[in-house]
Amino acid sequence: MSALVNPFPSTGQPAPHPPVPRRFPRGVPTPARRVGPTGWGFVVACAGMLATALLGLLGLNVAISSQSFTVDSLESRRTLVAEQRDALRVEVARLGAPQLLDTRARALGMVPGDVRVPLPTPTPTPAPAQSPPAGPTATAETAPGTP
Amino acid sequence: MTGLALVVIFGLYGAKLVQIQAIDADALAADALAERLVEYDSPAVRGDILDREGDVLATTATSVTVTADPSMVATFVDRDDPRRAGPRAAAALLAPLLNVDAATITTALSGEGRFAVVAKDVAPDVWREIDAMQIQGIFHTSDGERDYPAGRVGAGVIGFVGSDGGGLAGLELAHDAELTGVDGWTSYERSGENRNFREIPGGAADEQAPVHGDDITLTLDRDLQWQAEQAILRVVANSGAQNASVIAIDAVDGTVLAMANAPGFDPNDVDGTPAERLGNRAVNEVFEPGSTSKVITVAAAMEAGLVVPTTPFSVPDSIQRGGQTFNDSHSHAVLSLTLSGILAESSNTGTIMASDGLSAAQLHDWFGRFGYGRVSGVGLPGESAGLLPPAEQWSASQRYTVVFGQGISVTALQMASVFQTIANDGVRIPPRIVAGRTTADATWVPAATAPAEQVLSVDTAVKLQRMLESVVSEDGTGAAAAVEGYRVAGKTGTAERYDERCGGYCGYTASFVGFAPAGNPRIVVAVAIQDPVRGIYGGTTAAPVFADVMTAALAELRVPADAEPAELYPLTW
Repeated sequence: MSALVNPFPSTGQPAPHPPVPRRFPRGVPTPARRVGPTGWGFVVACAGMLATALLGLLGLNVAISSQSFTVDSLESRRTLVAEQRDALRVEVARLGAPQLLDTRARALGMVPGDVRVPLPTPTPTPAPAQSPPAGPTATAETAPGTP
Repeated sequence: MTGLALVVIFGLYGAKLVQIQAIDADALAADALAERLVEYDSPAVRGDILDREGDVLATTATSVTVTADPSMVATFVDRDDPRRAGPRAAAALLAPLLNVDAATITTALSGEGRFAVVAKDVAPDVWREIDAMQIQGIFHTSDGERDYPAGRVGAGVIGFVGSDGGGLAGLELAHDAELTGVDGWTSYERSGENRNFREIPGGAADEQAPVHGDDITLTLDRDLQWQAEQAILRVVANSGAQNASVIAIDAVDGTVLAMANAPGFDPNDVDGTPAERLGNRAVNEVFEPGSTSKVITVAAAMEAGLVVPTTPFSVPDSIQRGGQTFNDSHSHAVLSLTLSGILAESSNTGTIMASDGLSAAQLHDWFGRFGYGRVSGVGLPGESAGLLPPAEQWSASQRYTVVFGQGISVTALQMASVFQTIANDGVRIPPRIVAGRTTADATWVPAATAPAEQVLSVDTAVKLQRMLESVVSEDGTGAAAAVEGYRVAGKTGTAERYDERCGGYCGYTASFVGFAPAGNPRIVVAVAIQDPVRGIYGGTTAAPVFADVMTAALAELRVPADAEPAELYPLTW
């Protein structure tokens, strides 16, 4: 937008001459450009952000490494527990084997039972007796036939 | 000039740096990673074999082998006591944990090579204690070792594995594919040198998890199996028999509850066991069934309408048929027996008379319907189909010998299956011994079941059940098979036995097959004793074994006793 603005608006007076650049004599040093307070703040902010990010990254890496050691330790523990479980499972199966139980029972003075009493056969429960419904008494003529 | 040389030299260095850091960077990084990565197989764990209650019959347990690099052990120095060093010091630390003599370990650690086995079958816990001591040059390998916690119990059925872990016999062989699973692998970045490296936590790692083998659940009952094995071990010892088999089947669903052979073997230690003991005789060995097969002849005659249980016969002790004279097992006057009486007394001549109206083709057909001449489908390796020649190949006399179970051959399982059919009101359920399998993701897959067949009519089956009760009565040949408190039905068998050792018939097969409770059959038990020397008859040698196994089976399955007393057919007229 600024390119479209006439830098010399018409005032009715003759236009002033454009500014002539100052020329310094050769061999005279140009004064150094000084950084103002705003520029230093930006640098410090960037450095701070960078340091914070680096510290955060370091902390993250430390945490990841630490957790990796924990995972490694837990996996070792899991393997150990699994092996112990398998070993105990085999041991239980061996101790529960019938021949071993028989040997141990005999060592304790136990003997196989000579008489095995068969389990009682389940019998249907008889329905509770009910009083005959009130009504006309059966007579010889109305009684059902019997074999 | 010097400046130009420096420029060239630095230029070359610069170019090399660009090549390393920019052009070949990825490839070199990959090479470095590959150098640090170590890859291991993650073997799949072979599945377990369980009995019907879930008791473990075969499993795989981790076994550690402690190894050593003697050249490294030679420079070992005990951190706690630097004066102790070398193989002797290392052995002194290892001996109490391995429970091995220190001198033996010292010898192993003092070898010339770079590898020595220090101890095998070490528990994982023990290895961890050894590992914690960080003895230089001591290593280990872990393997899954097949273990049969019940030892000999069910060994013939379960089988065993070879040194590579693959099934070699029994169900270990038949279900090897399901039991084996699929191996996986693991890779990770390592640190350290030689074999003392460790995984770098947080480093690159990858794995393909193994798919462990399926667990196979059987229909066998471990405790009943053991009791059956004890029963036939006793009878083999007492009778001087070559071997014996016993089978218990659920009469209703055909599941095999026990299948035992004697002598057997220990699958934990098959080395040195004679090969003939390593099989499963109950399905591998065939023999002529003898009189137990008479039930098929009688069933065929009844189904043909030729006879009923009370049909009277005048039974001599010898009879002429097919140009040959057939005798009963003992001399007797002419007996007035009913068909039931013929079965109860196991008369050969009477059975021939009862079958006179049947053709050879009809008899062959009936034997085939009951499962003779074909494998049962139980799925055990090496099962024999028996020997049932086509009827047209039968000799004139064979037509008559087959009716009392000579001239044909069967397995013990086929014998049991015949009586399962009768006990189950004529419906034959093909026997099965695998209930199903549990996959690695805990999915239960039931075993396929073969379709049932109505082999004979319910009426004939029920009549046969009642007739067979007479065999176990005081008037029958199988009184010794009685089980206190239960009604028992069955049939004795005493068959002449073909023996390759004599190239003909020498010795006998004593057998008994039956079921109980007779009023509502639940369990079938078949006993076959090969070549007994002391007590050759099925009724005296096999029947007591039947009673023992049946008693145990009824108790194990908590089968209630019969509610009604037996109503036997008359045996004489």
